[in-house]
Amino acid sequence: MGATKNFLKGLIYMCIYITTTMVIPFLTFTWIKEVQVAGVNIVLEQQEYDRIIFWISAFGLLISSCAFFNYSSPKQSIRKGTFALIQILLNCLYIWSYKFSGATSVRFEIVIELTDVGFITVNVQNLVMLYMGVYFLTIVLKGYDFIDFVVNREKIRQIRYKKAKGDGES
Amino acid sequence: MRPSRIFRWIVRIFLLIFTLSLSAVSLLGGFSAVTVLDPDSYSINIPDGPPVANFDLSNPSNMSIFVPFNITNVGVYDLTDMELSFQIVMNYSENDPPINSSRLVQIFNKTINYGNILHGELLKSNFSGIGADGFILADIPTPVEVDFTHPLIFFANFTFSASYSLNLYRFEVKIINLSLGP
Repeated sequence: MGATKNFLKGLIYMCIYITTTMVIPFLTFTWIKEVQVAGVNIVLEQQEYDRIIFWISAFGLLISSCAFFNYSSPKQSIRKGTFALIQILLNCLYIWSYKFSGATSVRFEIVIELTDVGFITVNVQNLVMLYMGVYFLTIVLKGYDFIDFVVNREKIRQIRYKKAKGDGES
Repeated sequence: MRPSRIFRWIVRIFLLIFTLSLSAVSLLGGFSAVTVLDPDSYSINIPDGPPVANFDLSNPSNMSIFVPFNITNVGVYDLTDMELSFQIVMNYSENDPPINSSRLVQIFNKTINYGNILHGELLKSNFSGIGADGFILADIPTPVEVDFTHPLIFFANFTFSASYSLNLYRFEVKIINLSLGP
């Protein structure tokens, strides 16, 4: 029963990560690809759009699959600690991919009657760097978790055994 | 609960609060930036009236340009490090051989940093350049070099850039090859 519950939990989290790391960014970039403001077309270059979507999909898939293994593993197990750490590292790469794919400095062309009259650039590099800082603290926390699971392995097993025994008696 | 888990929960709660505040600031900043840049809000008016220009080639040191503008920061954060940049390119026909060959020359280039506009405040000013203050005198052709039987054509590039939302965003709007007419 516990295995089925963990499997379902893994599936649910995988779906959540697919939505947040792939579907929402994909829909956002597709939505802003061509915007019309006061009769003026503001267009994201096709090549730039393709590059951003490629990196988001690549890392999104890796993160989502890792989320399945992380959340379907038993609580406080080394397996969970390992996958959680890998997932956080992938999250860092995912955020970093926004920078090297060009998504942190998105350039839109301003088009009036098929003629480029200029462009708008939105640079969110500082924001991404700040999120990277938050992720660094999360990596530290996951590293701490991993060491804790290894060092206190016996204690964790005893607590789990006691809990399982209590559940069995009741 | 083991003490190591209590420490972990404290760090996790701190991280959660930090991430939520950061996300709130980013979202609020994004929506607020849209209200500032929305053309229907008329908060950025460049130019705010007819620009005045004197492109008299016979007296380059007296050449001048004045572009009135006003910017209202209708967002919730301050607009910081605001810069306006203006370049003018002149297309003219050369008088000396080779006959009828046209040349492009940049005659004006100036960037002004207006600093910060606090939220809710209005900046009403002129972008101006007179003589050597903006005009590239060394590159401006003398009247002898220009064939006035062909019209002089002026193009302008204009850039507006600023940081927003505690410097988390920086945006730049660039209009290129804007015809100023002959």
